[in-house]
Amino acid sequence: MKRLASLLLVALLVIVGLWWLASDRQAPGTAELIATLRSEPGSLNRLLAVDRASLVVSQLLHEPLVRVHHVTQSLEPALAEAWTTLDEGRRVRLTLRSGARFSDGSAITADDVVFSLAAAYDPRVASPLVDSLTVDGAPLVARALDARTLELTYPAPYGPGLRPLHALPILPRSRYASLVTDGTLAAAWALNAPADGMVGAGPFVLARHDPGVAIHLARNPHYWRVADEGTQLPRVGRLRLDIVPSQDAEMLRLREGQADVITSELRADDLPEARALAAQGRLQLFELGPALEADMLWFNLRPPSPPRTGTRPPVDGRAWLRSRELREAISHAVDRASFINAVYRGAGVQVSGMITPGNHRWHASAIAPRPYSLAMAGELLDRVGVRDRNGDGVREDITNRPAQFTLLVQQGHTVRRRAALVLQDALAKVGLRVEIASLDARGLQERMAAGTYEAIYHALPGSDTDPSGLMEFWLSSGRFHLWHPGQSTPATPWEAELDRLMTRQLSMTDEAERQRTVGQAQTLLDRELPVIVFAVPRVTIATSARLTHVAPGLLAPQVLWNAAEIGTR
Amino acid sequence: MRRFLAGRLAFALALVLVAYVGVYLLTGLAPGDAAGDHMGSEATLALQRARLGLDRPLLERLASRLWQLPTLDLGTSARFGQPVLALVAQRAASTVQAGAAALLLALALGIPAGVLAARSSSSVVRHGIATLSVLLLSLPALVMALLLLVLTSGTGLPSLVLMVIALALPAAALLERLQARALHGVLRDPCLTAARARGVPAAQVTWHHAWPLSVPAVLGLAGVIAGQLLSGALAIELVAVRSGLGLLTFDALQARDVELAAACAAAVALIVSVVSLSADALQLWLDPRVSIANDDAAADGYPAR
Repeated sequence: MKRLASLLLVALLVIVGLWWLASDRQAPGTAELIATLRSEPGSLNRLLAVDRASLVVSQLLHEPLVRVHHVTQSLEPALAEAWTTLDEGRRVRLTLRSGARFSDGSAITADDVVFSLAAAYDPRVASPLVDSLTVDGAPLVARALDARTLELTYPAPYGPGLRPLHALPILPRSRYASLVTDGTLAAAWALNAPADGMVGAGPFVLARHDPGVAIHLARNPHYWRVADEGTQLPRVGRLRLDIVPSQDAEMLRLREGQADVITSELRADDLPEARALAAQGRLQLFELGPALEADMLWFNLRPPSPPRTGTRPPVDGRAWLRSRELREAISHAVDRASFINAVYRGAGVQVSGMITPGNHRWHASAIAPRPYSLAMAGELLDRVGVRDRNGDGVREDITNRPAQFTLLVQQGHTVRRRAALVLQDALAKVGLRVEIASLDARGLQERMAAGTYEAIYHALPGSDTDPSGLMEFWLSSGRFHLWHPGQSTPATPWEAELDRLMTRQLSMTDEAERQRTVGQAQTLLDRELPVIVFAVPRVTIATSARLTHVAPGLLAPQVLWNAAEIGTR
Repeated sequence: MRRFLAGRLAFALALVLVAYVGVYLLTGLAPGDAAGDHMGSEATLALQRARLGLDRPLLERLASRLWQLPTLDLGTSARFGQPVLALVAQRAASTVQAGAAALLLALALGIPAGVLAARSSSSVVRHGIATLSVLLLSLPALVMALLLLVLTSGTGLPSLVLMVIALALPAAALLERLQARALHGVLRDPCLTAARARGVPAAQVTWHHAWPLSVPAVLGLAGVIAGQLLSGALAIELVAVRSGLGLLTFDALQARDVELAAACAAAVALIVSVVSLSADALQLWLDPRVSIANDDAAADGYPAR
């Protein structure tokens, strides 16, 4: 009896197992556009999005008034078909596109724009967009003049103009006003919320969500955009976003034709295989030039705690770590050409500043990287008293301790780890010893905020190409003023000057004058070198060969920013 | 027997609670928090911290969460903006699905292989199986998954099948080793010597008499095998593109999503406990001697096994 029961149990389990296996099979031969995401998004609303996946999906579900063209990096009309700047940049009058509708078919009105802007400022929403929509510490004021016209009033003349509005999703007031009031907007746009409760004006709508597996989007039949040849966009009927947590798995999917688009650019190590596949006609490659985001090295420049009153300050043997000469020496000591070969397998560009040549409008091309010279590096180190006093090949500081520092890099980030090793080798040639330690991204950020580190090799979180998106980096009070964040008053004259230049450029409505001022700030940054940039990779994007109308840009998401235009052969 | 099972149940619940509290505190004390790492100001960050409840002390948050635990209110995930219970239940179902299928496959491969390794007269077969098992046991789960992914790419093999195979092979190897040793142990029993002396065929001695006697020793390590399957799931989910409990735990830890990380740990503890408890119950049902031994131990003042 027991044996019979055991057999029946095993048989039952096998049948259930087979049923599970069968249910996992995906429908073959789907004609949808398939892209990948590294993780599930935290929110499907741009008002609440902070992670990269959320930014990608919310761009597909929402439409702003204006959008950044990722190829030209300039602003172009979206829901606002035209605008006029008045009162020396203090007011902008916008006209909404006639006939534009939300995904539920209701008309988009100026009142919806007023509501969406108010929602972004609402503390119950706690939107990360607030900073970019705040001018001189005050919000923008929107006023609907009629159903299609609205007026935006700025607290002060504002150089970036409408640019920050490219992130603002336009939401229907009738649907979401009560949710903003009772603080449940986030729940309505969570991935597990009902799809029919998500109304946007983007090219796609949420169709279905397979938890942990994929997000299925369907074409928004009310999307306003029409292609040049008159085709109603989006061109594809469906877009599937598969959750693929590793780039190795993404590459396999791309190679096997199971994905059309992957999350980011190709890694240098994947380029040879991708080129071979492109030659076979299985992939199409797009060379976009130098990347926008630069990995950089910086030192902790916070001054040491002041000694207690009445006591003599101790000799600061680590002062050389905060010296400009050290940073300058490092910049000379690294052979950028070898750096590119070792870190980016040759596919890179030498750069000197954190605004890279990939940022067409704001890169200061007159600033050249410092030449490779071990002699100059050595001379600069001698100048701050870091010398090899005992002839063992390692320099000593003024207290006769070996000149060494700990460099923190992100755990699991192959490229940065490789770069740290190259730096370790390069600096050993000038007698500096570097210890490399790895931390996860949050740990690294915590160390930076607390100032408990010597040096870090990392990058800034991605942002728009306009310098207004990087004010937290430029200003001495900023949270991402990497070397010494959150200063109450600028610690050095050059940081005070940097604050002045970058605050001034925000109020300039003359584009050329603004560019000149940002150029001056970059020159100052290059002179003081609080961050050292050696090179950036050349970006190559790969998509499946069956896609048409692909126009990738350097800004993320590089391909899906114009998902509505993309079609299939 | 009831007392024994009740004791194991209480232990399982305590284990779940310890896992929850431990991971809650460890994740909360790790550097960084769940508020976004976007290019925002201190003021915006403070607003987000307040929205996520991160402006309250960790112990206060834990106390209020424990107070709500009996109602199964595990809070809302800071990373995914969804109720933690629903999120964990979805992903646990996916992992249990793959784990159960992998366990079935591992049993189907490991038990016969173990019996064969113990009873085969051919040394090539015995050593061959043992070597293969050691090889499979020593391969890290990530390497195994990558190897399978490369071998099966282009075949259209569903991700679940890939994951099941990658999980099942090391478990099958472990089962094979356990089964072979257990069988070696029982073959010396006087009852089996008597059966052989009476001329019972070798196959019948092995499968009808020796194997049932060896099963309790294999079942005793069911909890270990369940733990192995769950820990292997993370690495395999990374490459097999199937998000289950392992990947969710990884995401939660990376995002410092305290509530979610703690709930994932509790779910893993719960699954391992349930498997162990079920194995114990099955063992008691199959082999009454275990129950007698436990009762004797309890009567002598020793804790039951």
